[in-house]
Amino acid sequence: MNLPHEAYAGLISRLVALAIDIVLITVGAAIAVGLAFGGSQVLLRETPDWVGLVVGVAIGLLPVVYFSASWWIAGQTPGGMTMGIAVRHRNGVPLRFTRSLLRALIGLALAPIWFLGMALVLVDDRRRGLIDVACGTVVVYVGRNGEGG
Amino acid sequence: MVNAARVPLGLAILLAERLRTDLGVRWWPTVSAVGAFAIGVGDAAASTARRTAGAAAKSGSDLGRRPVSAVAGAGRKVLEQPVVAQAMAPVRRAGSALAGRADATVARGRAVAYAARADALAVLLTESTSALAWVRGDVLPTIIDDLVTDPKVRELALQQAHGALTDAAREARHRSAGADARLEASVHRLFGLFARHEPSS
Repeated sequence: MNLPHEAYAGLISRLVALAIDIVLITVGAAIAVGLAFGGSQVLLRETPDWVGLVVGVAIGLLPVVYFSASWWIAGQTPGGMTMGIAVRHRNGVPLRFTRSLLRALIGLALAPIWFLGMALVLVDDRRRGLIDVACGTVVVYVGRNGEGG
Repeated sequence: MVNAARVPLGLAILLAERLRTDLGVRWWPTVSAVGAFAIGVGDAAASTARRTAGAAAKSGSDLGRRPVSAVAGAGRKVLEQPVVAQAMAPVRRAGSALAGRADATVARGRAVAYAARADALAVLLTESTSALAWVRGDVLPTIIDDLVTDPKVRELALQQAHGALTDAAREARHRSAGADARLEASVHRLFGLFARHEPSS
């Protein structure tokens, strides 16, 4: 995909989008925990151990599901939609499920490297971070100047 | 104490004042001399009519006990009496002096006009206060209830909120894109990297 340099999303837009996603995931996790523990108290009058286990697994999977499903289905997370950026394959097509899942797993498993690797955006021709280089993706602005998302 | 009979006159004066202000007619007085004279004459006539009506009612009640012919005859006899003729003399003098009392009539008219204006203002204030209380107590709650439960209004509010959020997101995108370019250019300058990507905004 040959786009002008300005068509690729920059560092600040990506960080703001990521911050929005983190807030949404945190709020969603808090709601899930509240519903699970509160519901168990109301329905079972106690909180069995398995409820904590299920909630822990669900919360652990929530970010993976959130990011991979968002990139696969829409190419954008809600934070990306807000900031008008989308993740694409390096040739410009939308991500398939496996690449979305791989990107989410690598990014979340190596979150510090994900963040530090974002500095590469500042010097790369296509504003790619380390995770983009590793997964063969690019992040572009969408919905501007007639460019579709 | 508001004189209800004067309120229409006061309302007319207030209306005239409003028209005078709206039309910018500064030279025309609120109550002109002619108008004040007419009001004074009218007020005097009304007072006289009230007194005459009261006296007539009293006399009528006395005369009602006698036959009509006896009343007419008594009237003629009374008018022919020198005492009555003397008594009518002050009335004639008062009539001739009426022209000289025009100023007093004008002053009386002005006083009546200002009193009527004050009465009208008091009535308007009282009525508007009670009307506002009625609107606040009975009308507004009903309207608000209707608005809250109206699906069209809800839809409109949602559209407004959505539009505001969309505008905010658009602004955030615009600013962040500009900040992206500026940050990148700063880093490039700082580290002496290639300077081929100048900020577009």
